[in-house]
This record gives sequence, C-alpha cells and structure tokens, in this order.
Amino acid sequence: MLEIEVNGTKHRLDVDPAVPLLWVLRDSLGLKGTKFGCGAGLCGACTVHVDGAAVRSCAYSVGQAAGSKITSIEGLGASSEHPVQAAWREAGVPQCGYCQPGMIMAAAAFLRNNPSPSDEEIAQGVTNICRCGTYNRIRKAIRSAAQSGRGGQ
Amino acid sequence: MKEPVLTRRGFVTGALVTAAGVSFTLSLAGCKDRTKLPDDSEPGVELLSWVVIHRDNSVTLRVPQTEIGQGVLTTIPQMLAEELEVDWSTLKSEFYDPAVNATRGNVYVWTAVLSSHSAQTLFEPTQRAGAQVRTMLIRAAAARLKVPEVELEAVKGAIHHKASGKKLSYASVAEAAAKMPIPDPKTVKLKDAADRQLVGKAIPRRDVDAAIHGKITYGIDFELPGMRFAAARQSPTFGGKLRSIDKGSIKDMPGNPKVVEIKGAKVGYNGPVPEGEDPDVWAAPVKMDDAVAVVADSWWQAKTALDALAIDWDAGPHAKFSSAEYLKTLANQARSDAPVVVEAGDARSALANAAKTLSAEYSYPYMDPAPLEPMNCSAYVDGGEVHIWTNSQFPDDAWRIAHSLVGVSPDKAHVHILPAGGGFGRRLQNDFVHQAVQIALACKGTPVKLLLTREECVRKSYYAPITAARFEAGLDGAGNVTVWTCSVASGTSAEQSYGETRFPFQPPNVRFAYKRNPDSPLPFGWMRGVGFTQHLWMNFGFLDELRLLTGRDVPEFYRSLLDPSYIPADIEDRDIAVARVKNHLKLLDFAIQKGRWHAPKGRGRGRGLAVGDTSYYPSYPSSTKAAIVDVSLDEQAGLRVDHVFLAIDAGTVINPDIVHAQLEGGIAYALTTALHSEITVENGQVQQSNFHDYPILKLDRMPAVTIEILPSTEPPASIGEDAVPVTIAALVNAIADAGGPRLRTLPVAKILAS
Repeated sequence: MLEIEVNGTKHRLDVDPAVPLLWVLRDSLGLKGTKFGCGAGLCGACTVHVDGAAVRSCAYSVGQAAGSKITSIEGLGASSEHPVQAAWREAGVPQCGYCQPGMIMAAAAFLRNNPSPSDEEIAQGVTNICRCGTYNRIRKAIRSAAQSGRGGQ
Repeated sequence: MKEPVLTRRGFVTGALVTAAGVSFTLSLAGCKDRTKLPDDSEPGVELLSWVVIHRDNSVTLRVPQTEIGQGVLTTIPQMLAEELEVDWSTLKSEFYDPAVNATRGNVYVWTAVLSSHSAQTLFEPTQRAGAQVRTMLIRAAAARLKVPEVELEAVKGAIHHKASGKKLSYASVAEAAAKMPIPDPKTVKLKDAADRQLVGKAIPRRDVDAAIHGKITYGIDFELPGMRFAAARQSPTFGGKLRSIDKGSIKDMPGNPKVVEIKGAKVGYNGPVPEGEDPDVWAAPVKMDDAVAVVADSWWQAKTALDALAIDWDAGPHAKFSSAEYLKTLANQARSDAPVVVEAGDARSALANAAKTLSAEYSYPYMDPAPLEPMNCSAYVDGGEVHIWTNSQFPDDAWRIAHSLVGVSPDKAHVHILPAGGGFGRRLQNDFVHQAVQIALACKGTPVKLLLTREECVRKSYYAPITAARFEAGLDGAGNVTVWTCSVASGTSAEQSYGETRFPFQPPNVRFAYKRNPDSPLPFGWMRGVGFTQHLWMNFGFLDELRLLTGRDVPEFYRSLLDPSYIPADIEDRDIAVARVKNHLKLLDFAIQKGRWHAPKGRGRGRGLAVGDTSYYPSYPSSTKAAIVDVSLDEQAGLRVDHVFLAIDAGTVINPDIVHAQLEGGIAYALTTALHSEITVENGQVQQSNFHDYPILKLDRMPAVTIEILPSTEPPASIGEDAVPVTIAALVNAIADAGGPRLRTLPVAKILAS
C-alpha cells in the first residue's frame, strides 16, 4: 500500500511503485486532465505539481511521489479559477488544447518561483511542447498573469 | 481470464461523455434511434440532419468534422447559427454520425478533415441549411398563428409576430416544422454580408473553458466500465510479417495480459475519392503491417507486457532499406527517368540558347506529422454490433472499416467522434481504427481501448514523402529568366506533381517531369501543407539562386515572372490562371509594403520573401498568402528566426481570431518542419523514436509574428495548412540572405551543425 495526496484528497493505493504517476492519476484515480504525449519526460503534457514543484509525471514513479502532495489540473484553482487559467482564457491560447493542462501547470509552478519574469526567463523556464504552436499566446498569457500580480499564487 | 461484465446500465452511464460543447448519446446495442440528444431527459426534434431542437428550446447543431484544433466546434456553429437565429450562448453542438452521412447521400457535404476544407466547402451548405430550418419553423408558426409568413420574424430561438405581440418558441413549433415541405436550398434567402451577426466575428472558441481545465474528453480519455486496454506494435520493418510469438513469456505478468495478433492489411484510402476518379491519384492506400497487441486490465500493464513479449518477425522485403540510399535512387530518377508531365514553349532550345544556365539538386526527407496525442481508438464488438470511439480525421472511412471488418450490416456500426489532440494529416490514415476493431473482435463483449506509445507512433507512421528534385533554368543576356525546368522523383504513392507544376513563377518555356514510386517501402501520409510543403521552398530556393546570378532585386525579379502574358493563349481555364498570377502579385505588393520588406537590417541579418497558394489544379479555390521571414545568423549563437510576417487573402473569414491562431500555429509548424524534422531509415527501421531525436520547436525559438488578413467578400478559402509552405520558403532564402548556406535539403538545424 502506498499513500499519496492528490488535490487535497488522500488515497491509499495498491499499486506497483514503479508505475509512472501519470498512469496512476489517469487510470487509478480517473483524473484524465493530465495527458500522455511522449512517456519520456520530453513534452510536458503530463506536468503536475509534486509538493509545489512542476514534475513530468510520465517519467516519475508513483513510488517517488509516495507521501507527497500532488496537484493536477483538476485541483489547480479548484475552488476558484487560477490566475494562469484566467490569463489563458483571456489570451485565447488553446487550439487542440491537448498540451494546455500540462502547459498551465508548468506556467503556474514557474510563476510561483518567479512572479515577474522577463521574456527570456519565460522562454527558458517553460519548455513544454505545443505542437499546434500556441507559443506566442502562451507567452502573452504568462506575462499577463505575472502583471496581474497574482500569477504566483 | 476474468472478463468484467458490462452491464447495460453501466454502459449508458459511462458513455454519456461531455466534452467541450460536445455531447452525444450512445445508442445502446439494439437501440435504433440515434437522434435523441444529448440527454434522454431532453428529447429533440431533428431538422434536416443539421439541427436538433429540444423541448427546453435549447438547440444542438451537428458539426460534420472532427475537432483537431482547427476550431470547427466554433466556426461551423457560427455558420449554421447565422441563418438559424438562435441564442449563441445556449447552443450545443455534437459531432456528426458517419452512418447518417452515408445513408443520407453525403448530407454533410465534406466530412474529412483534409485540405483545409471546412470553411470553403461548408460555408454555403451550412448557411442554407440554417435558413431552410428557420423557414420551416416560420411556416409552422404561420400555420399555428394563422398569419402570413411575411409578418413573422425569427429572433433568438423564437418566432415573433410583431402586430399581435405573439411569440412562439422554436421548441413549440419544431414538430410541426419537421413535417413542413423542405424549402429549396437554392432559393432560401441568405443575409447580406453586412447584416451577419456571427460570421466574421472573433467569437471565443466554445471549447476554451474545457481546454484550460483539462475537461475535454479526447480519444485517449474515453473510458467505459469494464474496459480493457491495449498496447500494440507493428512489424519494425515495413512490409515485415509476424512469424511467431512466445506467449509464455508474459503469462505470469499482472493485469491478465492477453495476446492478440493483428493482421496487416490495406486499411483503405486516406481520403475521400470522387466517384469515377482513380483512387491512387486522389488519395493513397493506407498500408498497415502485421502487429501484435497485448490487452490487459490497465494500459501500463499492457504496455509493460508488450515490451516483455518475445516476438519473432520476418523482416520482409525491405529489411535492408536505407533512406539515404533511397534518396540517391530518387536523385537518379530525377536526373534521367522522370516522365514529362507539363510542358510549354520549347524548354530544350531555350536552354541551348540561354546566355547563362544554372542547375541544382534539392531534396526533402521523410517526416512524421506527430500530433501530440498519440494514436488511439476504443472499440466494442458484441451481439452483431460494433461501436468505435475515435478522433479520426476521416470518420466516414472509420465507419466503413468497422462494419466491413466485423462483417455486420452498415447500420450495426456506430462511430462516436471525439476531439483530437492535433491531427496535421496523421489521423486521416485509419490504421489505429483497423487495429482497435481487430482487437475488439478478439475480445467480444469487452470494450477495449488501444493506445500506441510515442515510439510506435514515430516508427510506424504515415510519412511525408522523401523527394528529390533537379532544377535547370536559363537566363538571357539581360538577366531575364527564359526557361524553367524541374524534374522530381518522390517516394510516394500519392500524386503530388502539383508541388512543382503549379508554381506560378513561370517564364514562357517550362518543362516539368515527375515520377512517383507507389511501391516505396514507407507508407505515404498527409502532412500539413502536403506537396506544397515539400516543394514550395525548393522552388523559391532555386529561384533565389537564379536571381543572385542576375543581381536583381527580389520583388522586381519575382514580378518579372508573375506576368500574365507568359500564360499560353490556348490553355484551358486561362482566365483562372491569369487571376491566380494577379493574386500573387497583389499579395507580393501588400507584403512588401506592410511587411517592411525594405526596412534596414543589420549585419548577420537576413530576410526572405515568398508568395504562394495551395491551388492543386486550376479550378481549386485557394487562399493566397505571402511571408517575410527575418533571421539572425551568428557564429556563436547560431540561427535565430526573429520575425515572421504573414499576409493572407482567404476570402470571407469566419472567425478572425481562429484564423490568426491557425496561421501562428502554421508558422510554428513550418519552423519545426524546416529546422528539425527528419525521419531516417537504416536496416529497414526508422531510427527516430521520440521528441529527443525528432524535436519540436519550443517557446524559446518561437519568433514574433505579425499576421495581416486582407478584407474580402469572396467565399472562404483554406487556412489551416496555408502558413506552412510560404514560411519555409521565405526562411530558406532569409538564411542565404544572412550569409548562411544555400539550403538544398532539410532539416536546417542539422545542416548548420555540420
């Protein structure tokens, strides 16, 4: 048995600790907002927060996450919309939308560490792949969340 | 093996999936009525296959395209609702049913997500359908109120009678309206462009909220109670065969793994083929090799067991295939074997008489479109029925595959469309549907979801074709181009000669030769921009090489070849050809002015310009666009793309914000294609496997972008693919302009690194 806390709820799971956290979130807990893109920690579609830090959950075993507090897209701004999500809507970022939960989780963690980043810092700090190429709107949304002064929530 | 029992109740509950603005009801096995939408508590009346009006007066619109990010869940409702006069904020939408499309004579007009066609093919039919339904509702209201139709007006889901102040909701007259004679679509009155409330407006996408909260149910997210999960692997070589499997190697692994052999097949064609046309010219056969699937209680278990499974493959006839060697074969074909397909004037003597001639060889590697959501499909076969849940870009063929493979009558096959995490052409090949149905046939009574790994997606994709081209052209003493020839050999089973022959920069003497290789080992696939993506940059690259021999200025040199008087007098559709050249000139002039072509640029900076369209044949309605790309080239920092300007004349624009997004995205796609994308094959196997060796552009390399949409009242034209070819073409010339190498092959990053 292994214990993790996801979006404020504790779960005791009978699962092989080697299973990537991604598949535990998606298939054991039914949290399908976290996406599978590469399985090798390369694209970031599976980004979640583990104790506040952005983690690519496809390449992070649930055993490593044991005892940690995990936030997935479903838990980000669960009570009220997160400022990064609001900025995303305002900028009309998504196209197919598939990378966006991971992108938003990456951006939220990035802004928590660096609430008023330069464009260069955004470029270096958010390294997820968006195959639709929404990058300029992503940059705009991150700037806007930062300028609202609430991006680091 | 324990098979979970699928209860009737569980099946229904699990299937009531609502994605962003999309809803559908799964008809239970045996349930005939698929028009009850979207919730059994709200039955509706279907009007003309396009519209369902519910008892609570909410309205569901049918979207006859899969959403792959191009925005059809917003743009198609915009077109339909424009004439229907409904409240935008309460609209619902759902994807069309391919079975309905087939049994009602292609009522949805154009359902494949192919050729950036949604707006141009559906603009008229959707507005006319909206107007027909509105007319039927008004007629029913007129009969009810016993007043003339002309006294009635449809406003936001209700029919108003001004004189009496009476008002009837659409729902209250829907049943009567359904019995009204259907108005002639050709004579229903449509709004003047100036009166449109929805078309042309930058309305936010209807799925944005679901997208940012992770609530869109993509194909990969679909799940049913009792579902089992499959991972699959095709023969690692192309044309390889399954010899044997040591099933014992995984029998004790967790998740009750079951091995299923998937037979290789010709799945179908990767696009609709017009009646009476040669399918091998209009589309390409979708070849799929033998594969092995493992089905288990969870996907991770299935994938882990598949990794451990000992499989013996017969590598087949292409065991030694090398893409590098094949390119040499293609280059030889381009030099000598390719048959002439288009000729004008006398290229041979023009070359012989030229003051100067120039020749150069170009090539293009194999590429994988690589949408971010890996290929997947859910399927369920039981009781003589088959259901599939897919985000195929070609659902009509997915439906055909489902009923033909299971061997049931077409009405027993049900296709449920889900949104896709990107497509870019890859999902037009329904191999994953064929595989999922084969697996479901081996697991009757159990719903199964097939999901492929990224590695499998890269190694067994459908590839943009490796291509070699040889150009030769001649100049007179004054630096005018007198003759242009191009000979192409392509490792493709599709006809893509338009990439060279439709280049409108043509002097009076031209000759084009083209050889395709239908038996090329790697299966052909569509990729954003298709043949224009492969060829336009080569055309502009060689054109720039010629220009540099003359010392002429770029725009002036381009204009000299966009000369309507060069178009032969006797060709069919000459007026269309002239208009096309004029459109190119218009975009060229617009870009030079608005795109700051003449602005000063510093040392190590380069600028490239390209103009193009995607006109596959003379009567093909295409948008025209121009790109200006600015780059910096520095020995230390390498190449940096600083700015991309893109102007487009795409006729009437349905949603300018979505057009902007598609063009921005197209620029990013172009940069990945040009800078990074290359699939190579050695010993019969693809050498790349994931995003570390098949990289995708990231935020740090995304340039600033300026988009200009030219105002127009013409019918809508293509958008989705359009930024790709011109951006690559302008980029390669910008790199040369900055003092970089003349790029005659891709990807750029590899060449600059060498």
